[in-house]
Amino acid sequence: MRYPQSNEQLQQLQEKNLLWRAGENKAKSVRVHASGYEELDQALQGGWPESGAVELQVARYGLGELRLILPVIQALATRRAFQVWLGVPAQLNAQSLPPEVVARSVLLSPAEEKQGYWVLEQVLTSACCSVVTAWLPGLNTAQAKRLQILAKDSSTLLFLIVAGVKAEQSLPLSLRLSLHASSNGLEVHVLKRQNAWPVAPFEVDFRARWPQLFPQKSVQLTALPPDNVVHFPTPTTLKPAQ
Amino acid sequence: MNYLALCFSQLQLDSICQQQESKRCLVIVDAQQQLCQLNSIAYESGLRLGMKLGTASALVPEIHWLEHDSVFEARRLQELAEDCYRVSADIVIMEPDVLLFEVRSMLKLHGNLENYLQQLNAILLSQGVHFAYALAEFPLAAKILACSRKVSANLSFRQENTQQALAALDISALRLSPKRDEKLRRLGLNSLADLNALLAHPEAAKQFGARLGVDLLACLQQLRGDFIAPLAFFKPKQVFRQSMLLEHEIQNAQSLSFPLKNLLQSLQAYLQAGLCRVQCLHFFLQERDGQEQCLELLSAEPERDSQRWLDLLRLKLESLQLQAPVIGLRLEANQLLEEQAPARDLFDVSSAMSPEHLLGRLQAKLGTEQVQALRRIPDHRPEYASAMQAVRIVSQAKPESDANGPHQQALLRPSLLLEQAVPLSESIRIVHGPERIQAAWWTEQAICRDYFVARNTSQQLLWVYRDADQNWFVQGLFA
Repeated sequence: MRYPQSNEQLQQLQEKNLLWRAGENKAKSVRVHASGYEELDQALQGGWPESGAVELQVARYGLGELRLILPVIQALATRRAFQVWLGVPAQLNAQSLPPEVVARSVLLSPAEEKQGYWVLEQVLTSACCSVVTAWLPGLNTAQAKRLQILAKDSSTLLFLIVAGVKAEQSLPLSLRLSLHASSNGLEVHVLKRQNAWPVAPFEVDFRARWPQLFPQKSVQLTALPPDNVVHFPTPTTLKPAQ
Repeated sequence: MNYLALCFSQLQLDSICQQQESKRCLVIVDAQQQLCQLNSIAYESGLRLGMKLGTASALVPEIHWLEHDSVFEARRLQELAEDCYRVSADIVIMEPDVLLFEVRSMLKLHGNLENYLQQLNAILLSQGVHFAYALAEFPLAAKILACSRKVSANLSFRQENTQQALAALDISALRLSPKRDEKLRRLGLNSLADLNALLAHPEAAKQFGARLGVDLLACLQQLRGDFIAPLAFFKPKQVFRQSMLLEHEIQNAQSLSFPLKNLLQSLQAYLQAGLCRVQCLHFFLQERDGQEQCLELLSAEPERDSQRWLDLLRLKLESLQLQAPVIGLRLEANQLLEEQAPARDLFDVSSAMSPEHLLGRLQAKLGTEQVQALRRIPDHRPEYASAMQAVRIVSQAKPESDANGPHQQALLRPSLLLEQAVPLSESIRIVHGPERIQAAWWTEQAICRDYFVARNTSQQLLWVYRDADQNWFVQGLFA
């Protein structure tokens, strides 16, 4: 990378909002939404950004990416008319969501990828959605920039869930996280954070919120203790009545 | 002369002859198998009103008869009222066969009575209907006189004394039941003059209502103008219909938006005049081969502005394939809604678009099936417990009502459900379970499954189940 040669060039960069000074952070406090997880709030100085686009990269769906953002979705549910889910890879289960989220959910399933961006732009421009969660195949720089600006302008929180894409290029988003499953929850690598110092990878503990999914001992199905006590029929001994 | 009554005594018959020009002996038969409407041929053949159908067919073997259709007549009467509304503002529909016009207020518009009657006559002539008519000071008097007269095909003004004409009428003109007519006749009361004479007598007048019926007394008082019952004036149904022919055939769907813009603008003008909005538009595209294609355009919010409709229309036209070149267009708006100020958040000024507007745009672009809301259904079977439905806007102030109760919240359920459970094909480690769901055994879709939460080798949390035959399936993902 070439460093700017003169004050004039520095001035230009600053005007284009391409320059960040380490000292700025203290001056203006960035407004945030609490994420509902202590570790995340601590690492990101308060939680999710108030508005803008947040990218969540996962190797595959189903690692816990929705559980990570569900508390903030629930907290913001009643702020505006809708919560939009775009291009959900399977059926969203109403039983797993809080009722206030179910009441405001709008599911959009555009047939083509191109329509997806159009829809996303419309939804962000309208400013009547509090949180937009979109499953997208990937973004280029121009699209990312546009979505980020629209989300900021309409003070909407946009979560982009991207699976199986290796992040190479840098995208102008508020926050980019890479998520990995761990034994107690989710390991979070912060790839990029706008206007802030880099953060070391940290673990978000899901055990308090979802104790059943992270038991201290995994359930033993096959090894039953050999005794003569009549046990309540366990699944292995259940046979259909003929 | 304040009121004009038209009695269409053979409305059904007139409507039939209009359709097929035939010189047949045609009669309409009522529920008692008596002739109630006859055409001129039938009359010349010696048939009369009130004859039994058996007698009639004996007299004229080649008789052609139809059953009386009161629903059709009511609709026809409505149509006639709509037609006459162009000339006269205050019309009352008096079922089954009378239209009553308030004349006096229309004289300012038409100059004099002759002019007014002429205009009305032209409309009735174009409809090809026969009618009897009468002019009177009071509504009921006009109606009863009109019904007692013979049909004619021409409206003209005659000066006459209404009370004299009424007095000469037989009591059957009041359209009471035959039984009551008989009762009055036995008392020696044969005409309206007799009844009036009775009323003039102070002693008899006191007993009149109790002995002969309060309704008869009220009827006579209305005829004399002692009081006038309130009238329910006809209001035309509000619809907007406009069609246009194109100079050139149009093959490209997108270029239809230019001529359609004109139609939308005249719709806007129409709606503005009537202070109403519309939520659903139908565009009919007339194709060269005579076929017609209908395009339905829905807006989530009642809308008037032609520009907004045009935005939605352009989105719709993008996905439209024309089968044949279009030569004509028609726009219909059937349900006009009254203007209502939409509820807006006073403080959230950032909203550029209303939620309804956003929904309208999305539905026009993606189609209504691609824009849906979630709903919980109280069912133990996971695949039926969550459903999609049309989007409904929840007002901000309304408290949440959850019909399913809080117990649903406590269940451990995956956030993503697969469309269809797939057989398990990888090794898994059980994390939680079992949870047995055995439900709907009273239906064809009975299930008996043991559900587990399991982690696979790529660390996804799966929702798997084992059915009664020990087969394992994956049904969801804890995303």
